[in-house]
Order: sequence, then C-alpha cells, then structure tokens
Amino acid sequence: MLQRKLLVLGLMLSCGAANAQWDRIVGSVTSIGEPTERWVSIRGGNTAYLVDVEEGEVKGTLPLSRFSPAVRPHMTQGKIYTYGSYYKRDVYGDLENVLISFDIETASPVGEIPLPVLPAGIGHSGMIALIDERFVGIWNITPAMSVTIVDVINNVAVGEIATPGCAAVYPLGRGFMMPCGDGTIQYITLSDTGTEVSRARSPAFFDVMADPVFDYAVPTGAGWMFVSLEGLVYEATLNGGGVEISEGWTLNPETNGTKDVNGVEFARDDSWRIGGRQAFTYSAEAGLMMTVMHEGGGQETFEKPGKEVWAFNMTTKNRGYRLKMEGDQTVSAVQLTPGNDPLLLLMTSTGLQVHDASTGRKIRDINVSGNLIQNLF
Amino acid sequence: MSDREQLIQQLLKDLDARTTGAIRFLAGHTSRRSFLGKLGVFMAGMGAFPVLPVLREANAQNVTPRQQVNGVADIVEMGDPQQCEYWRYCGMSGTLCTCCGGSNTQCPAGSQTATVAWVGTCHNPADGRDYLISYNDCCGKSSCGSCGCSRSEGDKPVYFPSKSNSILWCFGSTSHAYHCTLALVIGHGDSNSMR
Repeated sequence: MLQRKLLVLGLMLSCGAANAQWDRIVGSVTSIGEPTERWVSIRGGNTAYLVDVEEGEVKGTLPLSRFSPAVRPHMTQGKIYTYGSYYKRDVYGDLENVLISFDIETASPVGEIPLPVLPAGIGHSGMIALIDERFVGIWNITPAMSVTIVDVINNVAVGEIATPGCAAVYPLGRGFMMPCGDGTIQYITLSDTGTEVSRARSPAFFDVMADPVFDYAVPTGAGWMFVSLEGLVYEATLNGGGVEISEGWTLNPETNGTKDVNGVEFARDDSWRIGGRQAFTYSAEAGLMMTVMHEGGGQETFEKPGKEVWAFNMTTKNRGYRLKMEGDQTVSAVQLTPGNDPLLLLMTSTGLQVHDASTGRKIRDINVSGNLIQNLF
Repeated sequence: MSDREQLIQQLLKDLDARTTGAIRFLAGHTSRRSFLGKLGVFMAGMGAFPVLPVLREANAQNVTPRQQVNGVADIVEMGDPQQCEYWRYCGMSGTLCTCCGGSNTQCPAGSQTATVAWVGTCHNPADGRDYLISYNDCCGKSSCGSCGCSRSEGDKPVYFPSKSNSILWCFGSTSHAYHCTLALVIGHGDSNSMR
C-alpha cells in the first residue's frame, strides 16, 4: 500500500516537473521597450507598425482609423499622436473626429481630444505636425482649407485657422509653413495660446500650372525642403518676419555628352523623373539627399513608384550613386534615419529594405509593408 | 456735358416719365381694395416657388449628366467604360463606378454622390474633340475595389484642389468613406479654360 502511494506521488511530481516546460494557457502582454533613433513608424492599412530598423524587428503596432494618414511622435511626452475619424457603423452613421494619443511603452491609447473640424483624412506626414512641442496642427479641407490647432499640454482644441489655397502643416519655431497655389510658401506664427499672431508669404517662386512643388516637404533644420515635379530643389527659411526661398537646383541636369575623368560619357538620364508617395528625404547631419526616380511620363506621374533611388551629396549637389531595384520591384517611399551615419530605408513593392546610406549597400529586408515611413525622433 | 452723361440724363428722364405714366394708369383703373387683393395673391404665390421641380444637386442621390452645358448633347462615344483606357478617364484616379453597379453618371445603389469634384479635360477620339470631365466621388460605403484606374493626367498637388485627385472628394455626402468615381461630361474643353 505504501509502495503504491509513493508511486502515485512520484508520478504526480514528475508530471508537474514535465509541465513546467509549457507556457501558461493564458498569454502575457509585453511592453514595447525604449525607442532609439533607429525606430520608425510604418503606416500600412489601418495600422502603424513601430519598427526597429537596426535590429530588423517590428516592436509593436498602433491601431489607426481608415482616415488617419500619419502619426506624430512627441518623444519628450513618451506619446505618439494621430487623428482619426470614426463612423458609428464603420463607413456611415454618427461621426467622431478625435486626436488620439498613444503611450509608446505600452502601445495603448491614453487620451482623446475631440476635433471641431473634419480633417483631410488623406496624404502623408505633412498632414499632422507637432509645433514647438506644445501644439498639434492638423490640415483640413471641407473643401475650404484650414488648420486645427490642438494644445497638447492642456489637452484642448484651441481653434481653427483659415488657410485658403494652402495645404499641409510644416512646423518651424512657434509656427508653421505651408505651400500655396499662388506659388508661395506661407508662414503662420502662433501665440502662446495657439491663436494666430501673424502670417507672411514668400515671393512666388513656382508656377502651379507649369511646375508646382510637391505638397510633401522634408525638414532641413533651418527650414523645409520643397521639390518641384520637374526636379528643382528649394529650401524655405525664415528671415525676420519674412519667408525666404533659396535658389533652386536641379536633380537631373543635362548629361548629353558629359564625360567622367576617364573620358567615358555618362548614361543619359534626362527622361528620369522624381515621384512616389514619399519621393525624397534629406539628412542635414549627413549631408545626403535621396530621391525616388522613374523613367518617362509627364508631371502627372509624380506619385508613381520608382525603379531607382538616387543619392546626392548636398555639399556639391552632385549625384553620388544610383540604386537600382531588382527585377519588377518598385520603390514608393524613401527615408533617412537621424544622425551622422544614417540608414537608408526604402518601402518597396516587396517590403521594407534597409541600406547603408553612404554606399547604398543593402543590409536587410524587414517583413513589413506600408506607404509612409516616419522617424520617431 | 459728355455724350455719356447726356445719355444717362435722357435715360433717367424717360424712366421717370414711364413710371409716372404707369402709376397714373394704375390709379385710374384700379380700386384700392382690388389692388390689395391682387398684391396678396402675388405674395401667397411666391411661397410656392420652392416646391417647383428645379434641380437640387445637393439632395440628389443620382447625378444626371448635364449634357446641355456648352451644347454637349448626343456626343459620339466609343470604347469600354469598364476599362481604364476609356477616353473619359484621362484624369481618373480611383475605382470605376461602372464596375460597381453604377455608371459614369450614376452612383451605385446605396452610395451617395459628392456635390464637389475635381475636373479634367479629355480627348474623345470618336469625334476628335476635347471635353471637360467632372470626376465626382460616390461615398458612404466601403471601397468597391473593382477596376482601379490611375491615369491622373493634369493631376496637381492638394493645394490646387480643383485639379487634385488625391483629395477625398466626398464633400456634400453624409460620409466621406470613398466607394467609387463617376466621369461626367460637363462641357466642351475648347470652350473652357480649366485645362
């Protein structure tokens, strides 16, 4: 009898020891970790993927609405903002427009601020901006154009600023720039409470019918870089109360007959155009600019994916290398990570690619797709 | 006094004379009670104007082609409206309503027409003329998804909205969920300056 009891006890103990190697039947929840300068957000479908491109891993996701074009990180608050429009029955019914804040560590929503105006619901990273760490600006079109200002310190929508004929929100100091249909860049200065103090316009430097600039722009540190559909590159900066535009330079100067130091003619590239969902990027620290390029077509191809990425040395404004996509692969978005030694990120038709920016050498593929790459820092 | 001023003076004198004559005629042939009665009938009749059958695009569920605009009637057409190469789609970017239960002039059942649109100018190879095309989105349902088409000729950035197909053109409908896009012929291209 005693032997039988000892046998049963022994079996029970051995079963417990064997079970210790299995997971609990209910999974646990992880936190997202500490983001670095090499973390990015990829907007794909109704999801923002938070990706560590150094390690090549998706670290977490944020749920977005079908009308959320981009996110806006606020790293000193440890939050990521986005706006969303939500119908009660997904595509119809009562509508709620809200600015949503997510806690980065838990990738969970932690706040909502109702928006007074229907946001544009389309576009790219220029549709939502963090202004002076204090305000979030959101571009609206109803079809009247305006910008909603939200105070993210006091968590309240301050109001709406009318911006007829001008689109997007590109923050600079306590204000923001926006390209306008009359060929100018407008700058609106905000007060401490988020109301408009003043507005100024640059001289007209492009003709919207002949060669307009993209409504997408990238920061230069001192201002914003705008590129025309024909490939002219400009920088808009502030000077006193006014907006200054630099002399434009072209991405593809005539190469007919141009020879290298060995006397060999460069391949003709005059028919190549800039285009894509995120067609260019710039790193002031590394002195690099990257563009997505496709061959042929007219200006209307400005959103067409490319077959090559061109890299420019911004000291000389000369092209350093041409990166060709493999086979039928195309590229629609390009981004450089922050810092002196940035990584080049390409959103291709087969997923995210990470390259060394200075050489163009491919480092890895990451299994994530989307249409917008945004740095968290 | 210049010729122009003399003409104006003469016009005012003529107007005075005719108004005075008309009032005297009315006073001589109409009693006060009769005048007030006719005025009352006129004012009551004004109230019926809003129910007359006029075009109210904002409330219409189906857009009808405004083919009389600029004399665009009975245009000669060839081609398959379910193919992106069809001549009206030169500025198209989106899903063709012709593949979703609608047509080029009518939104599919259950969706709503937007009352504001972007425009393009397309060449009709059948008669060799250019036409102004209005691309109106149909909204309020999830995207149809069939027959995607992005020719985008003349497309501009969003700060020039009348020529931008990147905008969610669901203005005027109760939902801005995009379903598909119409292609309405609204005029001859050569009589407009909206290229």
